[in-house]
Amino acid sequence: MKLKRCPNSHYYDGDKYDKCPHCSASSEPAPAPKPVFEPAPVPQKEPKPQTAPAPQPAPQAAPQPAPQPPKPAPVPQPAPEVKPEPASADGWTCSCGGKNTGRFCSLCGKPKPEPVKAKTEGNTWKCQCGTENTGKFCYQCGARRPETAAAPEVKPEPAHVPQPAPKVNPEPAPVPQTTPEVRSEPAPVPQPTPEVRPEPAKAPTLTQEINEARFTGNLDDAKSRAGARDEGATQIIFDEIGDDLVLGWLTMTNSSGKGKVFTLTDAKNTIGRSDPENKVDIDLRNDRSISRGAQATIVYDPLNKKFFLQSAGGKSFVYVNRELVLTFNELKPYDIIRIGETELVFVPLCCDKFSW
Amino acid sequence: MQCEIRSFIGTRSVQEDCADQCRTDCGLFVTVCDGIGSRSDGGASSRLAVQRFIERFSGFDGSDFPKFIISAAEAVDAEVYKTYGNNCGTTAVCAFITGMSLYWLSIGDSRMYILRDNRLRQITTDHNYRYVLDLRLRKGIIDKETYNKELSRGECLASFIGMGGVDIVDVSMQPISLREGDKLLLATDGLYKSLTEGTVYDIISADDKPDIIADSLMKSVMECDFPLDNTTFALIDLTKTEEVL
Repeated sequence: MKLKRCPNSHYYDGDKYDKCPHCSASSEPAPAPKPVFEPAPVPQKEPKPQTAPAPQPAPQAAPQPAPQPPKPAPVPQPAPEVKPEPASADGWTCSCGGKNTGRFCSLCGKPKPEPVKAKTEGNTWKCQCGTENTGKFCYQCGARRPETAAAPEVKPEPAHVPQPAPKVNPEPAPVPQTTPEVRSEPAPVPQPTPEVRPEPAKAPTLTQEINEARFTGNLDDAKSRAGARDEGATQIIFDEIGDDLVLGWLTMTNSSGKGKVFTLTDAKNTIGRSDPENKVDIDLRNDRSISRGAQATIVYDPLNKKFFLQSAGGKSFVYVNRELVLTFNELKPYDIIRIGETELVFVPLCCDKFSW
Repeated sequence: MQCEIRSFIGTRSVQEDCADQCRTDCGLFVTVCDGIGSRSDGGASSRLAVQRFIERFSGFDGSDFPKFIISAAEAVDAEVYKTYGNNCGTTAVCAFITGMSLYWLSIGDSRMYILRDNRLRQITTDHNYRYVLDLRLRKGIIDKETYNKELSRGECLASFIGMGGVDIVDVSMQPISLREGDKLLLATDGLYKSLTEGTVYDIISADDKPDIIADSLMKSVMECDFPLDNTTFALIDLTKTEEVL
């Protein structure tokens, strides 16, 4: 006979019973209400006891003496690996249920919620119940995220994505190759979705598709794009031809525009003051002392990697380091160009040490 | 899928166009090249280019067409340049159809069109001086006056194979998906300078066998009563045909 006392102050024989026969509380200092709940599985909403100190990767090593209620039962949740979300690195699910990868929902046009960005790898955590999460709470059991990393404010949405979410690509992406050819309209969403809203589900037209697929431009650019294709740099359209490479900069150093920067991207940039007929690249519009039109041209010689300031024959005087430019002058780093009342410092990017 | 190629010398003394197709396990490859008329050996360059493209394609494993075709274009360009000096060259438009996916490459002013849903769309860009002028105008490098003045030379080629370093290319970085019933047309400038797009559309949208359509397209070109350039085209009909063994 081993006399024991339960937390509710009942005495009983510890050899015969391992719990108090009166109130079925264990004699050990276990929390009293525990056994009461034991028979009925705790609804999964009940927050998990915070006592489990396991960091994220502890799968099921629950340190409680009491057996864990069989939590995952009610929700038919696939194993964490099968979750749809990791499939595309930054895919997201809109509140309308559409699955997207672009910045706007292809179904309802809603912008992508900010925090989703943070979701890309590294920001997921594993709950003690074994579920991988991104939000502050486990969407499976409701446990709070351990205080390791700043938890992004992601709604635990991904859990209940309806599985046949339309696989619409971000921009007017090409229809997946496998699509059957039976479609009659040029823009089908590959799979019927539970709730397709007809209006915004605009599928790519053939023209869009062509523009997406096409690259027009320099062969070398095409080469690097073709090489880098795997990293997702796939579609390039005409307007984005990469000849906007920086060659150098001009910075205003006096007058009201002090600090303003002009980027030189073309081999020839005109400087002056624009008027509707004569646009100039570098428009010193606030300096009324400059005549309208181009006053000078900054020329970059890509072969010798040199810059020149060429007079454009305008009415205003153009100086480099207080020397009047009548034909052209070579520009050296930090030369000061003066037109009208404006002074600009020239800083090259392309030089002997570097060029595109 | 059936590909019909037609070629016509026009009113010129030499035929400088060349075209060919090649079918491997990967798919169908078609190329149409237009030797540059004002240069001494245009016909030889276009034939060399076609031959080399086809040779290279027969060794292509089907994995990464954009990469393959760009390096092929570079190599052919270097060879044409080396063989014929800097006095000649050729345009090139190539199409590669694998399954129901279409890839392409174009250098110069030969064109590729796709016919679908009662519309004829030009897929490629013409790499001529007009293209350069458009680009410059849009970037604000030139003004409208200069643009108009220069436009008289707008048809001059700005990029071609054999220039020893191709400048501008059109290349598909990803395929577009084709559909049953689509038709593709690869053509040299002789075709689109003699027939309007409307005429071309009327002819090729006919519900006929591709060889009949190709013949009637060729016939319409021949019936033009003005001086004609070399005219060559390839018509690809995506309608499934019984494979004849």
